[in-house]
Amino acid sequence: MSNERIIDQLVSDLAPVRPRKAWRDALWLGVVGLVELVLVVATSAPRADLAVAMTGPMFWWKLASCAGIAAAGAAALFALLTPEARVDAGRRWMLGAAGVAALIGVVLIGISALPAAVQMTLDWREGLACVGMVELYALPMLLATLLIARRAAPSSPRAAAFAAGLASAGWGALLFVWWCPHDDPLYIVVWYGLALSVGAGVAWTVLPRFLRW
Amino acid sequence: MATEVWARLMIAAQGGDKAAYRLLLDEVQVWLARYYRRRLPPDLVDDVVQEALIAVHTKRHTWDPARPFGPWLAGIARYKWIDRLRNLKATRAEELPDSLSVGDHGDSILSATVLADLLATLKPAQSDVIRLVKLEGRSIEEAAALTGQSPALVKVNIHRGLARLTKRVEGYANDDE
Repeated sequence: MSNERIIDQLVSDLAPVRPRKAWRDALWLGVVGLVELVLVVATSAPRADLAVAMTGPMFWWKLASCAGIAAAGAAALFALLTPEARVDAGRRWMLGAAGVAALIGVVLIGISALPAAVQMTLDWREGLACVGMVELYALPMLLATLLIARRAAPSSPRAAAFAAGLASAGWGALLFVWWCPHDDPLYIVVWYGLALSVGAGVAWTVLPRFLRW
Repeated sequence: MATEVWARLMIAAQGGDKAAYRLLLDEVQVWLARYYRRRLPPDLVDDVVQEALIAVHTKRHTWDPARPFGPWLAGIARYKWIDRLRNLKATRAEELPDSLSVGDHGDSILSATVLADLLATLKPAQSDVIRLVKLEGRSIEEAAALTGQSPALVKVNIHRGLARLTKRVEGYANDDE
């Protein structure tokens, strides 16, 4: 088929469109997050010692790290959703967030780790349950980011998929923080780190085929 | 400046103006053909131009009039180019188009020069077998006999070399414009 014929078809197929705006996508993610938050709060009670936990620094470090990673993942995703986007722009956000969270975690581990408690703090049954819950909470946001990314035109589907996975896993972890009874830094670095890695890794592996255009 | 005119045409096209859209696609088509002639074998150019035109059409809502049109269009062109290079990499030696090793006009010469530069960045064992099999059209066995590598090693070196080339090309693409 000649180029002229293609152009004829495309012109005849033309319909008005509304230019994509990042703030509309962000608003959509916010609505999805809010709905999920309401549903989770309505269906389960947070950790019993929440009031006490909120007086300690570990709870807030955990919360801030998860929020930071979710926000950085979302920022990276939005930076990657246009054809002219460069992968480096998204990568900087993601690496920065992961680096800061890890650094804070390492410092806190150094301050508070007690060798005798290591085996207890790394309880793998509890840890795997945490990973599972984070992924479960991440799922709605992952689907929402997938819809947004499919409608956009990411120039690097794999990087966009990774950012979507990181953002949604970060969001899942941020939600789960209110229910998770563990504040030990080693536990959090290991199991939350695994949950974030699994979320980002699965998205990196599975989503790109849905994001090609 | 052409891209400023194109931006105005695209704004009209996003509103449904078919005359403006035709004008835009006619001009973009010429630009795309020139873009791909510098980067691909001649017989692939029309196909990729058409893929890029379709991408411009299906993704026209992703251009924000608040941003310049040129980088957006170049991004689409680059994405489709890299996509085609990936497909080429996945294609087996005997299925590659003959035009990779022929053609004596300027664009082909330019492509060959770029390719030679890229090949020079590989290990000799990889660039030798890619040159023999992919560019000169020799069989795996012939390449093995000429280079002293086993047929299996020839295949491995072609695969690794092409993977490395693709990575480098993507790197150039990111620095392009």
